Amino acid sequence: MLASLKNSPVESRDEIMKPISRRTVLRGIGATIALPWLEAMSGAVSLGSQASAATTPLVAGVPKRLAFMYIPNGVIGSKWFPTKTGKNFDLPESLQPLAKFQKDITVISGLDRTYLTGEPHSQAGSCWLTSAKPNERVDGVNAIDITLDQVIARQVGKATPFSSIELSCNSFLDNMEPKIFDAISWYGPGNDAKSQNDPRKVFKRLFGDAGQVKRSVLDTVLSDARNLEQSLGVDDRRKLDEYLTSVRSIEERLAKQDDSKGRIGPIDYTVPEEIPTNRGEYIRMMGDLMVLAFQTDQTRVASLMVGPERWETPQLYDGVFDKPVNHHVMTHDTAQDERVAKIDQFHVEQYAYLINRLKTMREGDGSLLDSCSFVLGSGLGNGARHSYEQLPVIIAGSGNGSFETGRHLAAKKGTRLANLWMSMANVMGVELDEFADSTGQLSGFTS
Amino acid sequence: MVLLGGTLWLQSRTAPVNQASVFQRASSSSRATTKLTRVKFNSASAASISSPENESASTKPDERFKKQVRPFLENFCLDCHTGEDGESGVDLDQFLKHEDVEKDLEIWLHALEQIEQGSMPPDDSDQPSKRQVKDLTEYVLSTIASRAGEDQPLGRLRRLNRVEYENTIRDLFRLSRNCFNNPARIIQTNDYFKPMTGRMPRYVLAVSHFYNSHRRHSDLPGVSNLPVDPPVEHGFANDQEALSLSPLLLENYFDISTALLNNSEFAEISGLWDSMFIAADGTTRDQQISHAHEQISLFLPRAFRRTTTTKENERYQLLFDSEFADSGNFTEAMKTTVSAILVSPNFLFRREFLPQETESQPDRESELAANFAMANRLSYFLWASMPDDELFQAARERRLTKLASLDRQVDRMLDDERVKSLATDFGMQWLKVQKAASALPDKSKFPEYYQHEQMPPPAVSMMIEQLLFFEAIMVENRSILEFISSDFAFLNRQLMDWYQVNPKTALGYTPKLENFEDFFRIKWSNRHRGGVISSGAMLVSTSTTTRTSPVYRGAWVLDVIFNSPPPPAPADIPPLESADGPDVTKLNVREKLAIHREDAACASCHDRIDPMGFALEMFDGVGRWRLNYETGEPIDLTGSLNGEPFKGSALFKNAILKDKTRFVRAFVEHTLKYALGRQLHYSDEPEIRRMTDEIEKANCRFRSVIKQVVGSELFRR
Repeated sequence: MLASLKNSPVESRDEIMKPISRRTVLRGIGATIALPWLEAMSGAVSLGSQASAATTPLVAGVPKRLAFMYIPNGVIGSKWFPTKTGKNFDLPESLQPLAKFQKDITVISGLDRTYLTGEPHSQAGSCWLTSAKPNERVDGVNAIDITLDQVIARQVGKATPFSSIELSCNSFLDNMEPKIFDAISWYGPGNDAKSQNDPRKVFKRLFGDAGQVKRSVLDTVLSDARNLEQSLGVDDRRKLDEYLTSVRSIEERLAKQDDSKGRIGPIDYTVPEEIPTNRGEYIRMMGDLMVLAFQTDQTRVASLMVGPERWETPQLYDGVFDKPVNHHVMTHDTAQDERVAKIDQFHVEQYAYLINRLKTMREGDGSLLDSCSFVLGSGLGNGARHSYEQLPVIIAGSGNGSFETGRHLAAKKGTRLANLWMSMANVMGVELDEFADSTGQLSGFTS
Repeated sequence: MVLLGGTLWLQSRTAPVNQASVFQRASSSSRATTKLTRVKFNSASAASISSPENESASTKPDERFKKQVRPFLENFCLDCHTGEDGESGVDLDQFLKHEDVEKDLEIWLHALEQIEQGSMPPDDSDQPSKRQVKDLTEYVLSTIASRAGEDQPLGRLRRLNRVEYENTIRDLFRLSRNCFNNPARIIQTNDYFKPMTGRMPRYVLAVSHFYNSHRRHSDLPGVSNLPVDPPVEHGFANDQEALSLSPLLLENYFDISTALLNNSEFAEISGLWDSMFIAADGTTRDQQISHAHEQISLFLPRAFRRTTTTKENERYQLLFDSEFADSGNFTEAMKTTVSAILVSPNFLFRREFLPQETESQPDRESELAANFAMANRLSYFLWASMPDDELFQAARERRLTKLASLDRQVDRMLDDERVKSLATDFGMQWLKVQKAASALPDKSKFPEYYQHEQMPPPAVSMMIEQLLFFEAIMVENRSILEFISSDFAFLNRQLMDWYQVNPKTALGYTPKLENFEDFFRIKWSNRHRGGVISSGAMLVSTSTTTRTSPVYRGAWVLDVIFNSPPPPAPADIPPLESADGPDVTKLNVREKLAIHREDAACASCHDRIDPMGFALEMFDGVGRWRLNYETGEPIDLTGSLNGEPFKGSALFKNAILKDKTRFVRAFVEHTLKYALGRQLHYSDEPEIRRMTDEIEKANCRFRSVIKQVVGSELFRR
């Protein structure tokens, strides 16, 4: 009875009772499956758009991928940031799980954001990747506008069935906090890219029969929508535009999916029976799906929100504490810094697990990790003080040789986080003149 | 565009942007490069509106400002609130003439409320006379009123949220029961709920999925649920700001409509299945097609909740024709057609029609549209669902623009079982009940919370207790002041034990513990419990896993009871420790918070928040009565409201009831936010005050609140 309380009984039971669809029980050849994009790469869309990153690719002929993993409520900086910079950097307590991958990562320190008066936690996540300038309350309250991942997905995503995927590990039953705490990816002001939190549904969407729509039905509702559009004022048209954009996105996906499904072949994946109550298992499960989506080239842009900002729901950090704790409350009690750092380390551990997954997947002459820029970070520096300075950022992979790894890059104090985002866009082949409050590319990041 | 209601706090206003401007997207929000345009509030036209007949006072606003208002500022405000470094970021010295006031009425409304509540000027400063406050009030309110209608609400196209979608499907297909399993409904059966009787029963069998799954009365296997639509901050889940649409969500709508129509159980529980989806035996193909066309033209206006055009009907009839031609299967062709209707923007979005605002008489067409808009607004407010046949009829006959027939409809709708959503959707969101569902008190600190392994924890029963209490106030048309203090509750045996209510005394016998679905109406023997402030659900959900949190409790009261939520803690909070101070880990909650309040920046809010929480310290972190802290240290129950001290929950409730207007107004504001699906605007204020007066004259009866809301200009505009 208790278990059912913790973990949305309702959503899960539906799925359990349902016969597992044919696709989901297909077992395949696992990590050795033929990488589908290789044959598919006509080069035109994906490679062409990446020509602007000037470096020589590490692995020839593979697309670049970009992923964001977000941890809420900031970190304990004293146990996170290395004291030594450059190649011979040290790994403080929270980063210890990355020891095996020290050569594959870039630890960045010294990045800041600007705090806009208001709720500090909601901005932390919802404006982490924002393109809005920090003093622009674009949606009326916050500086929420289209986010970096979506800016890049618009260009890079043309090549794949899904221009991007958004995942989160929030299956909280009391899902009653505003979405500004629970979304890092936005299409525009007020319009969040709704994330999926149920691994079964993610799998069904990527590889199963979810979201399959009859052409005749799409055509009819589209004509209905166009008719409606004519009678609307400006604001309402904007609202309806969300609908029209969504219909178009479904159309495009269906066309590309037909093509892609033939090439993927069987997927080696065991569909979980329910959403795990252990945080670690849950995060790894969602992360695995992200890796799978990259591997099968369903998308090249992904975000994974480990948990919402500020929420008060107690969670079980397996292997760290023996009972559920409340991360946010803990961060505001400085006497508990040691314990908060343990959660930081726990999150880094999950990150390391995913790095390892990416690294063990062969792709061309290298690994899947080589093609990635896999960012781990938080929108707050220190959670206790709601500080917007000294933000934690780690990047795994080299964006296919776009930047040097295995170092600690200490940015000059006061450097904007947006400068890194400018650089990330550049790595992905997307040219931007500016992004949010950027003052240029992050100096010393790409050579 | 200004989002905060009449009770905003100042911290969130000290933005470096121009507060008197809003940003609007000039074109599609989906393009990264979209330009932003600044739209200034139009203050030029304000002067023309304050025509002589609008003026309550004989003096012109310019003169009133000079003679009364500016001197008021100089005497009582400007010592602190001057310049960019003004206290709380408020600069009142910038208001030199009446036109300046018109440019930022939001801040004036806020200032007025601070003064009316006695929070400003501070106790140790000179105080204005009652007459001076009254003059200021009149000036601010009449200035606001003179600008009414200048700031139109944003869009009028609003996606149905999850609850509305589920209920609309239920009523559209005339289902005999709910087909989605939504935990927000808390109690799943309706058997006990008979609003037309005007009484809640003394005993309720509360079947809940939280208790036990095999008795669930809803959901269809194989049909997934929609994702949760979260509310806006300090608002509700039907707020138009929150309801965006993404490709993923649209995919969900496609999947769900197909899954529903292909579900065999759905066919069984739908009252229109046979007539709509089954072709009669022995009919010709042509007869079947014309039958389908007729069915579609009957169904479409209900699905779109308005009159439809021939062109619209034909669009879906054509789809049927082509599907029928392809498959030759009547049922399949109809399923495809209906599944398309269910993802049409005309179904997924609510559209509020505006009557043509022309000088001439509104034409019949727009009057009809206005009537259908009212039918929708009424039904989504009171039922969170589509209008029923009678409302549609009233709209067709253009009766809903007349106050008397509106009144009759409201009474009829409040007597209908569908009004349950007003309790489960509005009421439970208002009281933040869902938070209790995720409470996980520390097992070692509160082992009793988990003592019955076969039973759900007390928080589940507390959620049901809260829902039944709300339903009783609503169904029995009680005074909303009973939300503050009341002598009854619905408890099961588990809660009687938890709250130390003797079942023998309360009921005459002792029900079995394991029959946790059995809830009984009991009378409290004292005033400590009773009402929502000291309810179990509130107390548990505002505690951390190991202890109570007076801060969360105080913030809950400010938000829920006074609609005056404290601003979020700002960035750069100083740490709660000092090198030579006492060891914070050894202090009790009150002492710890006292250290916190030594910092002036923290004190400005926590002085108001914490004392209310202190008054509830006789309830522990799981909602039980206690006399001492775990250390054996006695608890100090002294709290305060607006600087007036009291001890414990009963006197706390007295203090709230002493100034009942503040609560009544806040309740009206919450109800309006839900009814209008938007945040409140300063220009709503005069109407809110008028409604509050009327409700108090009607002894604060629940129905008087609903009727004031429906009858208000804000709702009918």
